[in-house]
Amino acid sequence: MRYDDWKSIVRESAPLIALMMLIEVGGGGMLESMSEIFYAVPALLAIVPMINAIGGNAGSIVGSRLASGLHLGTIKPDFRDREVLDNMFMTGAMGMAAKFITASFLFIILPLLGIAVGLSIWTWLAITLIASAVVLGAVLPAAVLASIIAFRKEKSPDDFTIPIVSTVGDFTGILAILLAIKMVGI
Amino acid sequence: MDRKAMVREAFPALVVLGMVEALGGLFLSGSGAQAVPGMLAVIPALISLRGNISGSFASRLGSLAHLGIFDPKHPFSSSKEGIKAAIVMSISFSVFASLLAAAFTWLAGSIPDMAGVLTVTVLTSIVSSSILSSVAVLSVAFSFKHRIDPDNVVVPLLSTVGDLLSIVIMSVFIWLWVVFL
Repeated sequence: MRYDDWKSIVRESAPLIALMMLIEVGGGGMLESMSEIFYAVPALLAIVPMINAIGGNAGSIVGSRLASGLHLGTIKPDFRDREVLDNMFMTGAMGMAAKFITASFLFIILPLLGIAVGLSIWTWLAITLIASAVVLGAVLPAAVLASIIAFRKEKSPDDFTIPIVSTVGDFTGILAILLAIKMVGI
Repeated sequence: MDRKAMVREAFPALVVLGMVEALGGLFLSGSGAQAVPGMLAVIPALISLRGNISGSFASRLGSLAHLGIFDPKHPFSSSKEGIKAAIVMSISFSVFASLLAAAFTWLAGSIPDMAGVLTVTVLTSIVSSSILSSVAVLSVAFSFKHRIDPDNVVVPLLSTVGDLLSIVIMSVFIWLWVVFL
């Protein structure tokens, strides 16, 4: 990091941000294409930030744990390594449990704020849990792969693994919500 | 691997972060965004733009503080180039994202509310990035004065608070647009 003037900061960051904007608007376009469902059930918008965040959060946990383990030599850079699988499994399980708690909280609090959910608790939980499972299924292997590549190429996890994981999380998050809505069939 | 220790360390953080995002979701679902054609298309980009610009600004400040270039006694004057860059990028990329979102919406077969999308996006971006940049400057200065490594505290805190703040500000602007215009 250098002491730059504003122009060189912009030059350095702009290409990556422009690319991220394209990917994110691609995801947003899919959300827009299902706007009728959100028109009918506005409460579903409440799960968008939460599903988007789970990928980034869980991916960052696995990413930083693997980065430390790989450098300490307690984890081998291999998908079949027991520690790697253990980390993925545990983070996935914790992510699902955390979303179960958050989704139940939203289901109770939304009507209190005057936003009708209009779905049964089972449908609501099914949508959030299916979406979370899809996101975690995509993000956790991506985090492992990115950490192993970062370790082999000696890149810092902050600049490499975390941005990859949060973009994968954002994009699959929206796909996952739409998939879950279709599967449950509102 | 010590599974109990991992659950003890990571699970509370996952639940708290989930709750913070859920609060953001409450605002979003009450905002009426689905009534403004094109708005849903721009929302994910707007949230991630905030993270990209303010997040990297905060981590840049942390590094500048370690290098001794960022002076905690004159926090704003010693970080003005970073602030300028954040303002320029917030405005230009929010215009870029709005145009992209409008194009996607139009390609998908509906007429985007161009004025609404552009107004909400640019205003949200200006307001949230001014607040977050100031908070970043002040909290990096504060943590440096108290010998706390800004990388461990300020940056993760800002990204969570920033997500919530930008969703709340955006929801308020969307709501104002839907109700008054």
